[in-house]
Amino acid sequence: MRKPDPWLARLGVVLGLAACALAPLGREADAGARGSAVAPEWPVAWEGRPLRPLALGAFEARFAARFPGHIARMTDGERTLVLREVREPTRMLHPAADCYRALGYSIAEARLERDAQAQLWRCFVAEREGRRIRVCERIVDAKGEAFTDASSWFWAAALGQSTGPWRAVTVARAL
Amino acid sequence: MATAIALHPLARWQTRFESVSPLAWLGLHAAALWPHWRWAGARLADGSDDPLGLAALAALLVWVVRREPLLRGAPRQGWVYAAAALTALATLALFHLPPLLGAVLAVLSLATALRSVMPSGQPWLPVAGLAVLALPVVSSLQFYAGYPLRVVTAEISTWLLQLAGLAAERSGTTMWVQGRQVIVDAPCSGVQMVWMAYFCACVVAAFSGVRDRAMLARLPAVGALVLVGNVVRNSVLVALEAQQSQVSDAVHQGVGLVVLVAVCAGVVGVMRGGRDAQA
Repeated sequence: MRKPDPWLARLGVVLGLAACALAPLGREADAGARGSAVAPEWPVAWEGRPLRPLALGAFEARFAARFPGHIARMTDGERTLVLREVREPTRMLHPAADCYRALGYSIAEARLERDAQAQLWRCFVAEREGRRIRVCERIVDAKGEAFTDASSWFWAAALGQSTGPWRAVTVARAL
Repeated sequence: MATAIALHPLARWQTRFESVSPLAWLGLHAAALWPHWRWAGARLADGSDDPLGLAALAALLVWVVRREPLLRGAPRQGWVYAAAALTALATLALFHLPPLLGAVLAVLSLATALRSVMPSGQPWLPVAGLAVLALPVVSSLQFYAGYPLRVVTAEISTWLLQLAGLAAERSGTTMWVQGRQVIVDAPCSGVQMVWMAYFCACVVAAFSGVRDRAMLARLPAVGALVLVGNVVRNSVLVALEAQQSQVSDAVHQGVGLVVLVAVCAGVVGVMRGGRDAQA
């Protein structure tokens, strides 16, 4: 078989590249299919204090639109809780520190801490424009087993060592 | 006597196509993959990933600019087709795969397009490696590889501490040393050390012209150096934690920095070793 002329081959490649450049323009947002499952029952109190729901911020709402689960934001009047629930292991359940960095905060003093009930939390201080927030998070599975980092949770969930649904609890308090 | 040669319009197009510079071809490939660069740029701008990739991008650009006079005017057809196929795959990935996997296909497509205009005998693997490292991969590596790396590190550290005569046990990523519980936490996974080590390997191989085959043969040694470095760092810190109530952040960072420098120096030595490996 005769090889095509080099310039014809180049023309074909250029047309192919143009098609590749234009194809994503027709892509439609893959929304709607996710989050169709029934919303979970969120807690009404936290450490004895009643919780009231808050609207998601603009950043959280954008994230929630493509999150393969449910997200709720609540407050007990002093602290803000962000609850994320998923039914399958997913990269989207990333550490809260990633979210704060994405919002322009710097992260410091990251460490593991135990609360009054001896539960282990991953905590850090997020700071932006002089505003400091103490943030602690953990992921809890259906049996109450907890994980303090997303990677260990992901592998436990993926290997069937932990059963869902899983709830990531992030507690933020202004310092 | 001057002679005017009138070209048919088709011939003029043909001439224009054949006179397109290699860098312009690469630019066309890059432009066709714009959604991937937009995603990577957004990840970089929103700060949700470490900006380490900028160092790899800078090294890659310097390498290309320095090699620009050597690039071939006529690309090799086989590599052009391979690059076009990868570009198509990267575009399809936008619809079906996570953005990072699509972006990996995109940079490999661009690296393959670069291969099509590179002179014979030039190393390509380190260039492709730098292209992958230029992506915002650290956060994803931490998510997927962080826990397995910590388990391996904790296990080998446990053996090491036992050899040193300390009572050490491991459960998951938690170690019990001399009766004290020490958790091998996310920063101890060594993911950033992995990135730095492979970055050093790619930079040294690219700029000193290490052949692809020689580089491939040395990559396992790079991985072993990272593992040894991370185990040493972890063992030292765990041993300190087991004997003191609290080890300061400065000690953590100091030990980490010393080990990182040692690992990178080892990687440079491994990649530069042996003159016969150079192209």
